[in-house]
Amino acid sequence: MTEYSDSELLKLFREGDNPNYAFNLLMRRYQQKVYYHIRRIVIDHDDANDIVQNTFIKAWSALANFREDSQLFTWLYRIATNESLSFLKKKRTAFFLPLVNVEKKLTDKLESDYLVSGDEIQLKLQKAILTLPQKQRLVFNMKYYDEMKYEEMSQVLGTSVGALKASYHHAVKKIENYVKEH
Amino acid sequence: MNNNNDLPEQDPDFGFTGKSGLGKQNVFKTPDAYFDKLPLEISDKIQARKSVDQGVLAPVFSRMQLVAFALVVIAVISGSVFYLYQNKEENKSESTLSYQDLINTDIVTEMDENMLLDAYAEEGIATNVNQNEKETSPMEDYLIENHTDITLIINEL
Repeated sequence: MTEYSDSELLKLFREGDNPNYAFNLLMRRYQQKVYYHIRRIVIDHDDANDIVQNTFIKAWSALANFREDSQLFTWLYRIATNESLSFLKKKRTAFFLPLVNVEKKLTDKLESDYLVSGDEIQLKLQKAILTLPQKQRLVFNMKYYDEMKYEEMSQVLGTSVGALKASYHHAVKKIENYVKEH
Repeated sequence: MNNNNDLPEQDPDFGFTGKSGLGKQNVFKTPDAYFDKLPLEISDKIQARKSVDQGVLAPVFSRMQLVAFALVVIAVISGSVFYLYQNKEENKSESTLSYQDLINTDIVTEMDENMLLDAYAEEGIATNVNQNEKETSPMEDYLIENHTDITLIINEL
Protein backbone atom coordinates (compact mmCIF):
# COMPACT_ATOMS: atom_id res chain seq x y z
CA MET A 1 0.00 0.00 0.00
CA THR A 2 1.32 3.45 -0.87
CA GLU A 3 2.36 5.45 2.17
CA TYR A 4 1.01 8.96 1.67
CA SER A 5 2.14 11.99 3.64
CA ASP A 6 -0.57 14.09 5.32
CA SER A 7 -0.36 16.67 2.53
CA GLU A 8 -0.72 13.97 -0.10
CA LEU A 9 -3.71 12.54 1.75
CA LEU A 10 -5.31 15.97 1.86
CA LYS A 11 -4.68 16.46 -1.84
CA LEU A 12 -6.12 13.04 -2.56
CA PHE A 13 -9.17 13.89 -0.46
CA ARG A 14 -9.75 17.23 -2.16
CA GLU A 15 -8.82 16.49 -5.72
CA GLY A 16 -8.88 12.74 -6.07
CA ASP A 17 -11.65 10.64 -7.56
CA ASN A 18 -12.27 8.85 -4.32
CA PRO A 19 -12.25 11.10 -1.23
CA ASN A 20 -13.69 8.21 0.82
CA TYR A 21 -10.54 6.22 0.22
CA ALA A 22 -8.33 9.13 1.28
CA PHE A 23 -10.38 9.73 4.39
CA ASN A 24 -10.30 6.06 5.25
CA LEU A 25 -6.51 6.13 5.12
CA LEU A 26 -6.50 9.21 7.30
CA MET A 27 -8.76 7.56 9.87
CA ARG A 28 -6.63 4.44 9.98
CA ARG A 29 -3.55 6.57 10.52
CA TYR A 30 -4.91 8.63 13.40
CA GLN A 31 -7.78 6.68 14.96
CA GLN A 32 -5.76 5.16 17.79
CA LYS A 33 -4.06 8.38 18.81
CA VAL A 34 -7.33 10.28 18.70
CA TYR A 35 -9.25 7.52 20.49
CA TYR A 36 -6.80 7.22 23.39
CA HIS A 37 -6.58 10.99 23.72
CA ILE A 38 -10.35 11.07 24.11
CA ARG A 39 -10.43 7.98 26.32
CA ARG A 40 -8.02 9.56 28.78
CA ILE A 41 -10.37 12.50 29.09
CA VAL A 42 -13.71 10.69 29.37
CA ILE A 43 -12.41 7.32 30.71
CA ASP A 44 -15.43 5.29 29.54
CA HIS A 45 -15.02 3.31 26.31
CA ASP A 46 -18.59 3.81 25.06
CA ASP A 47 -18.35 7.57 25.57
CA ALA A 48 -14.95 7.63 23.89
CA ASN A 49 -16.36 5.60 20.99
CA ASP A 50 -19.19 8.12 20.44
CA ILE A 51 -16.80 11.05 20.66
CA VAL A 52 -14.18 9.59 18.34
CA GLN A 53 -16.89 8.97 15.75
CA ASN A 54 -18.20 12.52 16.09
CA THR A 55 -14.66 13.81 15.82
CA PHE A 56 -14.02 12.08 12.50
CA ILE A 57 -17.45 12.99 11.15
CA LYS A 58 -16.72 16.64 11.94
CA ALA A 59 -13.29 16.29 10.43
CA TRP A 60 -14.87 14.91 7.26
CA SER A 61 -17.18 17.92 7.00
CA ALA A 62 -14.41 20.44 7.61
CA LEU A 63 -11.48 18.78 5.91
CA ALA A 64 -12.13 20.41 2.54
CA ASN A 65 -11.66 23.79 4.22
CA PHE A 66 -8.67 22.79 6.35
CA ARG A 67 -6.10 25.50 5.67
CA GLU A 68 -3.02 23.59 6.75
CA ASP A 69 -1.97 26.36 9.14
CA SER A 70 -1.39 23.56 11.60
CA GLN A 71 -0.53 19.91 11.25
CA LEU A 72 -3.34 17.54 10.46
CA PHE A 73 -3.01 15.59 13.70
CA THR A 74 -3.00 18.70 15.91
CA TRP A 75 -6.13 19.81 14.06
CA LEU A 76 -7.74 16.42 14.76
CA TYR A 77 -6.63 16.62 18.39
CA ARG A 78 -8.22 20.04 18.68
CA ILE A 79 -11.56 18.74 17.41
CA ALA A 80 -11.28 15.70 19.68
CA THR A 81 -10.41 17.83 22.71
CA ASN A 82 -13.31 20.20 22.10
CA GLU A 83 -15.73 17.33 21.61
CA SER A 84 -14.55 15.64 24.79
CA LEU A 85 -14.74 18.77 26.91
CA SER A 86 -18.20 19.55 25.51
CA PHE A 87 -19.25 16.02 26.42
CA LEU A 88 -18.07 16.45 30.03
CA LYS A 89 -19.75 19.84 30.20
CA LYS A 90 -23.03 18.36 28.97
CA LYS A 91 -22.72 15.59 31.50
CA ARG A 92 -22.25 18.15 34.26
CA THR A 93 -25.22 20.26 33.22
CA ALA A 94 -27.47 17.25 32.51
CA PHE A 95 -27.00 15.87 36.02
CA PHE A 96 -26.40 19.23 37.75
CA LEU A 97 -23.01 17.98 38.88
CA PRO A 98 -20.13 20.16 40.01
CA LEU A 99 -16.75 19.52 38.38
CA VAL A 100 -15.51 17.53 41.39
CA ASN A 101 -18.39 15.05 41.17
CA VAL A 102 -17.75 14.41 37.50
CA GLU A 103 -14.13 13.59 38.29
CA LYS A 104 -15.35 11.36 41.12
CA LYS A 105 -17.61 9.50 38.70
CA LEU A 106 -14.70 9.12 36.29
CA THR A 107 -12.59 7.68 39.12
CA ASP A 108 -15.36 5.22 39.99
CA LYS A 109 -15.54 4.26 36.35
CA LEU A 110 -11.80 3.67 36.34
CA GLU A 111 -12.21 1.14 39.15
CA SER A 112 -15.25 -0.65 37.76
CA ASP A 113 -14.67 -0.67 33.99
CA TYR A 114 -13.65 -4.08 32.67
CA LEU A 115 -11.92 -2.28 29.81
CA VAL A 116 -9.47 -0.73 32.24
CA SER A 117 -6.58 -2.92 33.25
CA GLY A 118 -3.22 -2.39 34.85
CA ASP A 119 -1.60 -2.97 38.17
CA GLU A 120 -2.36 -1.06 41.33
CA ILE A 121 0.30 1.54 40.72
CA GLN A 122 -0.93 2.27 37.20
CA LEU A 123 -4.45 2.78 38.50
CA LYS A 124 -3.05 5.04 41.21
CA LEU A 125 -1.42 7.16 38.54
CA GLN A 126 -4.71 7.39 36.64
CA LYS A 127 -6.52 8.39 39.83
CA ALA A 128 -3.85 10.98 40.52
CA ILE A 129 -4.33 12.40 37.02
CA LEU A 130 -8.07 12.65 37.65
CA THR A 131 -7.45 14.86 40.69
CA LEU A 132 -5.83 17.48 38.44
CA PRO A 133 -7.73 20.51 37.18
CA GLN A 134 -9.10 19.84 33.68
CA LYS A 135 -6.51 21.89 31.79
CA GLN A 136 -3.59 20.38 33.71
CA ARG A 137 -5.01 16.92 33.08
CA LEU A 138 -5.09 17.58 29.34
CA VAL A 139 -1.58 18.98 29.34
CA PHE A 140 -0.20 16.11 31.39
CA ASN A 141 -1.79 13.43 29.21
CA MET A 142 -0.67 15.03 25.97
CA LYS A 143 2.87 15.52 27.21
CA TYR A 144 3.36 12.33 29.15
CA TYR A 145 1.43 9.77 27.11
CA ASP A 146 1.30 11.30 23.62
CA GLU A 147 4.78 12.83 23.95
CA MET A 148 3.67 15.93 22.12
CA LYS A 149 5.88 18.97 21.84
CA TYR A 150 4.76 22.11 23.64
CA GLU A 151 4.41 23.90 20.30
CA GLU A 152 2.03 21.21 19.10
CA MET A 153 0.08 21.30 22.35
CA SER A 154 -0.11 25.04 21.99
CA GLN A 155 -1.82 24.59 18.63
CA VAL A 156 -4.30 22.14 20.12
CA LEU A 157 -5.16 24.04 23.28
CA GLY A 158 -4.60 27.62 22.13
CA THR A 159 -2.37 28.27 25.13
CA SER A 160 1.12 29.74 25.18
CA VAL A 161 4.12 27.42 25.42
CA GLY A 162 5.18 29.07 28.69
CA ALA A 163 1.78 28.46 30.28
CA LEU A 164 1.80 24.85 29.09
CA LYS A 165 5.22 24.24 30.60
CA ALA A 166 4.05 25.70 33.89
CA SER A 167 0.87 23.58 33.77
CA TYR A 168 2.85 20.42 33.16
CA HIS A 169 5.30 21.29 35.91
CA HIS A 170 2.48 21.81 38.43
CA ALA A 171 0.73 18.65 37.27
CA VAL A 172 3.84 16.55 37.81
CA LYS A 173 4.35 17.94 41.30
CA LYS A 174 0.74 17.23 42.24
CA ILE A 175 0.90 13.70 40.89
CA GLU A 176 4.13 13.02 42.73
CA ASN A 177 2.54 14.24 45.95
CA TYR A 178 -0.55 12.14 45.36
CA VAL A 179 1.51 9.00 44.71
CA LYS A 180 3.54 9.64 47.87
CA GLU A 181 0.45 10.19 50.02
CA HIS A 182 -1.61 7.23 48.78
CA MET B 1 11.30 36.97 37.03
CA ASN B 2 10.34 33.37 36.50
CA ASN B 3 9.97 32.72 32.81
CA ASN B 4 7.93 29.60 32.09
CA ASN B 5 9.52 29.30 28.67
CA ASP B 6 12.81 28.49 30.37
CA LEU B 7 11.34 25.32 31.87
CA PRO B 8 12.76 22.17 30.28
CA GLU B 9 10.88 20.36 27.50
CA GLN B 10 10.62 17.22 29.67
CA ASP B 11 11.06 17.66 33.41
CA PRO B 12 14.22 15.65 34.26
CA ASP B 13 13.13 15.34 37.90
CA PHE B 14 9.88 13.76 36.89
CA GLY B 15 10.62 10.76 39.04
CA PHE B 16 7.66 8.49 39.28
CA THR B 17 8.38 6.60 36.09
CA GLY B 18 11.73 5.51 37.42
CA LYS B 19 11.40 5.69 41.18
CA SER B 20 7.92 4.26 41.48
CA GLY B 21 8.26 1.76 38.69
CA LEU B 22 5.60 3.50 36.64
CA GLY B 23 5.91 3.08 32.93
CA LYS B 24 3.78 4.58 30.23
CA GLN B 25 1.60 1.55 30.23
CA ASN B 26 -1.76 2.01 28.60
CA VAL B 27 -4.40 0.92 31.08
CA PHE B 28 -7.29 1.54 28.70
CA LYS B 29 -8.43 -1.42 26.66
CA THR B 30 -10.82 -1.71 23.75
CA PRO B 31 -13.09 -4.53 22.57
CA ASP B 32 -11.54 -7.02 20.17
CA ALA B 33 -10.83 -5.73 16.65
CA TYR B 34 -12.23 -2.35 17.65
CA PHE B 35 -9.82 -0.38 15.47
CA ASP B 36 -10.48 -2.63 12.49
CA LYS B 37 -14.19 -1.87 12.62
CA LEU B 38 -14.09 1.78 13.65
CA PRO B 39 -13.24 3.31 10.22
CA LEU B 40 -16.05 1.29 8.61
CA GLU B 41 -18.49 2.39 11.26
CA ILE B 42 -17.51 6.03 10.81
CA SER B 43 -17.65 5.73 7.01
CA ASP B 44 -21.16 4.27 7.25
CA LYS B 45 -22.25 7.17 9.43
CA ILE B 46 -20.72 9.69 7.04
CA GLN B 47 -22.50 8.07 4.09
CA ALA B 48 -25.77 8.01 6.05
CA ARG B 49 -25.37 11.67 6.87
CA LYS B 50 -24.57 12.51 3.26
CA SER B 51 -27.67 10.73 2.05
CA VAL B 52 -29.81 12.50 4.64
CA ASP B 53 -28.34 15.85 3.56
CA GLN B 54 -28.94 15.05 -0.09
CA GLY B 55 -31.96 12.78 0.32
CA VAL B 56 -34.95 15.05 0.62
CA LEU B 57 -34.05 18.22 -1.24
CA ALA B 58 -31.04 17.36 -3.33
CA PRO B 59 -32.91 15.64 -6.20
CA VAL B 60 -34.93 18.81 -6.70
CA PHE B 61 -32.53 21.55 -5.67
CA SER B 62 -28.78 21.77 -5.66
CA ARG B 63 -27.11 23.40 -2.68
CA MET B 64 -26.46 26.58 -4.67
CA GLN B 65 -30.11 26.73 -5.71
CA LEU B 66 -31.16 26.39 -2.09
CA VAL B 67 -28.84 29.22 -1.11
CA ALA B 68 -30.15 31.39 -3.95
CA PHE B 69 -33.74 30.58 -2.94
CA ALA B 70 -32.99 31.44 0.68
CA LEU B 71 -31.45 34.76 -0.40
CA VAL B 72 -34.53 35.59 -2.51
CA VAL B 73 -36.83 34.78 0.42
CA ILE B 74 -34.74 36.97 2.71
CA ALA B 75 -34.79 39.80 0.15
CA VAL B 76 -38.59 39.57 -0.26
CA ILE B 77 -39.16 39.55 3.49
CA SER B 78 -36.77 42.47 4.00
CA GLY B 79 -38.44 44.38 1.15
CA SER B 80 -41.89 43.79 2.60
CA VAL B 81 -40.82 44.90 6.04
CA PHE B 82 -39.15 48.00 4.57
CA TYR B 83 -42.24 48.80 2.46
CA LEU B 84 -44.57 48.43 5.44
CA TYR B 85 -42.28 50.55 7.55
CA GLN B 86 -42.14 53.26 4.88
CA ASN B 87 -45.94 53.23 4.53
CA LYS B 88 -46.34 53.56 8.25
CA GLU B 89 -43.96 56.50 8.25
CA GLU B 90 -45.84 58.18 5.39
CA ASN B 91 -49.21 57.76 7.11
CA LYS B 92 -47.75 59.14 10.27
CA SER B 93 -46.32 62.22 8.55
CA GLU B 94 -49.53 62.75 6.57
CA SER B 95 -51.61 62.92 9.72
CA THR B 96 -49.34 65.52 11.26
CA LEU B 97 -49.35 67.89 8.28
CA SER B 98 -50.87 71.31 8.86
CA TYR B 99 -53.28 72.76 6.38
CA GLN B 100 -50.60 75.20 5.32
CA ASP B 101 -48.37 72.23 4.56
CA LEU B 102 -51.11 70.73 2.48
CA ILE B 103 -51.66 73.94 0.56
CA ASN B 104 -47.98 74.16 -0.16
CA THR B 105 -47.80 70.69 -1.61
CA ASP B 106 -49.02 69.12 -4.80
CA ILE B 107 -51.37 66.95 -2.81
CA VAL B 108 -53.78 69.88 -2.88
CA THR B 109 -55.17 68.62 -6.20
CA GLU B 110 -56.42 65.52 -4.47
CA MET B 111 -58.04 67.34 -1.60
CA ASP B 112 -61.71 67.67 -0.95
CA GLU B 113 -62.94 71.19 -1.71
CA ASN B 114 -64.48 71.61 1.73
CA MET B 115 -61.24 70.70 3.40
CA LEU B 116 -59.48 73.38 1.40
CA LEU B 117 -62.08 75.96 2.27
CA ASP B 118 -61.76 75.08 5.94
CA ALA B 119 -58.05 75.36 5.59
CA TYR B 120 -58.29 78.78 4.01
CA ALA B 121 -60.61 79.95 6.75
CA GLU B 122 -58.45 78.56 9.50
CA GLU B 123 -55.31 80.08 8.11
CA GLY B 124 -57.00 83.44 7.65
CA ILE B 125 -56.68 83.45 3.90
CA ALA B 126 -59.16 85.60 2.02
CA THR B 127 -61.97 83.56 0.52
CA ASN B 128 -61.81 84.84 -2.98
CA VAL B 129 -63.94 81.99 -4.11
CA ASN B 130 -67.03 83.37 -2.32
CA GLN B 131 -66.40 86.85 -3.62
CA ASN B 132 -66.17 85.55 -7.13
CA GLU B 133 -69.40 83.68 -6.62
CA LYS B 134 -71.12 86.89 -5.46
CA GLU B 135 -69.91 88.78 -8.49
CA THR B 136 -70.95 86.11 -10.87
CA SER B 137 -74.42 85.30 -9.44
CA PRO B 138 -76.34 88.29 -8.08
CA MET B 139 -79.57 86.67 -9.19
CA GLU B 140 -78.99 83.81 -6.83
CA ASP B 141 -78.35 86.21 -3.97
CA TYR B 142 -81.61 87.97 -4.66
CA LEU B 143 -83.56 84.76 -4.71
CA ILE B 144 -82.01 83.54 -1.47
CA GLU B 145 -82.46 86.81 0.37
CA ASN B 146 -86.17 87.09 -0.62
CA HIS B 147 -86.89 83.43 0.10
CA THR B 148 -88.25 83.12 -3.41
CA ASP B 149 -89.58 79.74 -4.36
CA ILE B 150 -87.73 78.97 -7.52
CA THR B 151 -90.32 76.38 -8.66
CA LEU B 152 -92.96 79.13 -8.92
CA ILE B 153 -90.75 81.13 -11.24
CA ILE B 154 -90.07 78.07 -13.34
CA ASN B 155 -93.78 77.30 -13.60
CA GLU B 156 -94.54 80.88 -14.63
CA LEU B 157 -91.91 80.73 -17.34
